[in-house]
Amino acid sequence: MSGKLQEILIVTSDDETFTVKVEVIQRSAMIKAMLEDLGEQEGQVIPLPNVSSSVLTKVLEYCEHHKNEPLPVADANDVDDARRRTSEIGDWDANQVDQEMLFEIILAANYLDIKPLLDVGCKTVANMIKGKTPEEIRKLFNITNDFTPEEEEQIRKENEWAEE
Amino acid sequence: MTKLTFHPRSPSPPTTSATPASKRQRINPTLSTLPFELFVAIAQFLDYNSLVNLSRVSRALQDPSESIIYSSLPLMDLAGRISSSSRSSAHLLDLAFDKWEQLIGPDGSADVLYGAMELLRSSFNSRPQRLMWVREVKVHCWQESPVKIMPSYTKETFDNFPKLYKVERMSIALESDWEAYLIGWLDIAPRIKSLIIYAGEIPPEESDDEEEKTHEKDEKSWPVLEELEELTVLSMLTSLERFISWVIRTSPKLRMLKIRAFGYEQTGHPREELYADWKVTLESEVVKTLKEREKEKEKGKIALDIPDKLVDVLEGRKPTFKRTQFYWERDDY
Repeated sequence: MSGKLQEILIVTSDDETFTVKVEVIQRSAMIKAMLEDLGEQEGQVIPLPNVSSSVLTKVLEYCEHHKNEPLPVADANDVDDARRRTSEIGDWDANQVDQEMLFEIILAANYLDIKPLLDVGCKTVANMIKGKTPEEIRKLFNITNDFTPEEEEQIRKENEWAEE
Repeated sequence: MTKLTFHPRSPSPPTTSATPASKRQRINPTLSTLPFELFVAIAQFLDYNSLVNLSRVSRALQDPSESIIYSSLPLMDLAGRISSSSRSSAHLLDLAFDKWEQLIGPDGSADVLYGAMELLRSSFNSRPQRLMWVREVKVHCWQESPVKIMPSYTKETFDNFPKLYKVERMSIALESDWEAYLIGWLDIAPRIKSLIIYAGEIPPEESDDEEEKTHEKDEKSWPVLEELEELTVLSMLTSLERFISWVIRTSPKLRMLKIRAFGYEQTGHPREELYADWKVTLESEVVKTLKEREKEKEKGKIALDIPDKLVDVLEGRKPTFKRTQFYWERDDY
């Protein structure tokens, strides 16, 4: 054993404490950078005031499942742009979550800087939107139509020639 | 709890919040309340039509959706891709639109311009919604004179083009036979706020009475540019003075007329000659129209942004060159 830090403690917004393996949580570029800045001390505590315990649980499941994959490198977006553009989502990542949790995961992945998870979440939302009419999108995401009839008519007129 | 699947092809019905409100310390995140950068992150996986549909869902989604579309499709620019690739033009067009990249301004040979125009026409006809968000149109052609292609375009050429209401800026390269081409483009983009006209050649004299009568008749079918605020002319086409005067007379929001010398350094013509030509133009028609419009207070005054040497013309001093002499001299090049 080299004495390298093995585990840290993470405290969520609802004051739950998680003991997390570094090899798992370092998929978060934010926490990885934080650990490098703070230095490796056993029992290191990292508060995450923007992430609840339920969301962190899901995030950790993702990180655990993907812990053996290469860590994303900075500025890799251009390199694997084609992969990121695809709408395909891996079998494991296609696990069911409810819509509220899905957006919570997107926010958390963005905050924790876990780009692959952010991509999975965003692809999932995009796939839910694709092929749907505005009304179907409203129903799916429980969004109120706040356009006035005049505005809707204006939009319709501007776009009517484009309707297939 | 109703579940939503992560699988793309089997979305479940909408769900409601399953977590008691009392446990929440902030608003639950939704599609409508996501920060813009995360909205962009989602939008990168959307096709064009989906993004358009998203913009029509609600006010909260309209602005971010449109700003993504606008910033991604700023101008027409097809020709470079078409000319530099062996792949089918339709496929290239799909790529361009799927990535929301710039729509092309043909900046190559007349053949390229011709190909791009035909592609646009077929695109309009097959999937017109592709072009509905275009904000800027650039149709240039510098490697070869557009005069070779423009005569083949009549007003009817553009009749099947739908209106591009979102286009606010247009820049276009013209030659002496410009009318059907320019008016065609203006017809399909009736709400432009800014128009830039380029031209690289000096046409022969055209001033016989019969032709003037024809022009007067043609003007009645020209579009009134209700939203135009700025006209920039980087041109030596004296025949354009009719058009410039028309714009000054009929565009209620026109606030700025810019005239710039352009192209002389490239062609070897002295800049002085360009000014001389424009002195004649400004004195004979454009200045007269400007002065007339100034009397119409409801339309407002137009600011001029012109080379120093033209200022004396506007202040009533006589130009020092004659147009006939000018062209005679120019023929010696």
